[in-house]
Amino acid sequence: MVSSHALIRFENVGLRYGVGQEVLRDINFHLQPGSFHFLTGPSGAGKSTLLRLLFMSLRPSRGLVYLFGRNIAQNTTGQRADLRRRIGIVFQDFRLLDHLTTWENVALPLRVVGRKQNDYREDVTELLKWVGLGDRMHAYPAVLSGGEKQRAAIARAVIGKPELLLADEPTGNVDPQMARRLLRLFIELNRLGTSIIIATHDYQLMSQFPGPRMQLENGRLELFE
Amino acid sequence: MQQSLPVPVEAGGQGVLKFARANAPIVPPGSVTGRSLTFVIAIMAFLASLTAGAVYVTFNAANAWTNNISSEITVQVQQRGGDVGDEKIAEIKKFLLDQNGIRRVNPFSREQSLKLVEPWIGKSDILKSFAIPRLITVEIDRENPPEIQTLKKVLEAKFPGTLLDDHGHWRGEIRRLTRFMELAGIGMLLLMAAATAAVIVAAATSALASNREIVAVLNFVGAEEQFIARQFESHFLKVGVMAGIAGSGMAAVVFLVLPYVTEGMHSSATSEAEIRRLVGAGSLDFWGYIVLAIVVVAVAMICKMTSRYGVRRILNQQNA
Repeated sequence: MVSSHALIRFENVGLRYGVGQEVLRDINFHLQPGSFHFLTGPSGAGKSTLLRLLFMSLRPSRGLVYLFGRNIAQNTTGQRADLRRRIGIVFQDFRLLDHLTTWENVALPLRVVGRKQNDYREDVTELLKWVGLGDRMHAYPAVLSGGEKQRAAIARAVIGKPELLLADEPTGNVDPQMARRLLRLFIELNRLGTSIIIATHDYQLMSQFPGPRMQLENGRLELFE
Repeated sequence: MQQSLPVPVEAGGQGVLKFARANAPIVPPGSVTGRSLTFVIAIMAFLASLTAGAVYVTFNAANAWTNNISSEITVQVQQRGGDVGDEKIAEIKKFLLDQNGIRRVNPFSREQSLKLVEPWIGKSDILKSFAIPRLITVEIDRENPPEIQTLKKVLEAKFPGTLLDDHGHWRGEIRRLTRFMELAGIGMLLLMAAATAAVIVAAATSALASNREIVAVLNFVGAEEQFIARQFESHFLKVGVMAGIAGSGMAAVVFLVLPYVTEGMHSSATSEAEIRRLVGAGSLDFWGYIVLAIVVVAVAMICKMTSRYGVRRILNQQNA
């Protein structure tokens, strides 16, 4: 039964690029607030596409997508920005701004909502120390390693204490020890109430946290609780 | 681009290091205020200002021309069997001055009248044997003009051999010409404005495209459209104002030195005076410089609007 309080609800969603075949087909699922899911599947199965749908940077070719109980097709630009503030996203390619320091990049979500630097200075510093970037706060992304960029991107996604965190291969560029540490961060966030969806290939990581999985294959989604 | 490194400082006495610049620009100024964009906009502002100034000068000259010619009438006194005596000219002058709406009467001497035909016949003693009509220019009061047709009838009846010319034919011709010049000027100005706007929009859009990633990141961290647009607008406005001032300033310098240049180009004082009478000296008055200032404002506004719509277009492409 579909709960009216679902955080995410997909109803018969299909997506095709241009006039090609559908890359996602008949996607139906709903996730409750506070859930934790791994999104997995072979390369090209549509994991990033599904995340983009969740992040409202793609519009489904058919079907309905509800986020926080709201149909995203009916969002105004202001409502979309409001929803995005409730979502944190970690991109596979990090998307850090090269002209800002690590600290400034991580603080960006708080800055764009008009918060004063004095209010969040300690939070940002603390978080950066926690992800192991305490000595790299002043560095620009150009001089960070792949793993450091990854951690900065994760810190930026979680700094605003989002209700939903979407992460696209968040441990792809870090060593196993750091991967476990980051996973613990995600689990801690989840414990505090943030819903998490992690798109990953990393079966070793998934085995350390036997949570429910969303498996994408040939454009179709199956949920394994 | 030169970036200032943040300096770690103790914040709030709690031992927390500050690793952020107070006003770190979200959009790096150098990415928008690139030399090529500023240069292109400055050139277009220069050309637009030259066009606007030239059209303004032409309008003024055309208006002055029409006004001058319609505030003057001419009386020709034909020679009939001998030279017209100065007494007769003085009589006509007195008659004209007695009429309402006449401001000034200026009879040409025989020598002055002969000089008028010199450009066609040349300077020769033989001119003196010609029965050249004497001319009297009459300046009328444009606020309270005389009834020209009645004056003509009375004058020609009272002084046989006189002809009053109200320049009606010329006025008509000149009105047609000035109207054409005005329309051509407006057309030229519109074309120039369109070209300027198109070039600025293209240059600013490409500058904005190079910042697509910044727009994307701001969009994805939940910044509102107005917030993102503001980050770019201030930079583009600055570029527009600076480039506009540079371009229009150059044009202002051209209009300042133009009268001296045109003076130096003509060897004959007559041709220079003729050109000045026809199109003005090429210099601008106070309102002319205001026109150039309007070009600066227009250029800056085009930059700002392009930035706003450019950001909106990028966001539309990035959002569902």
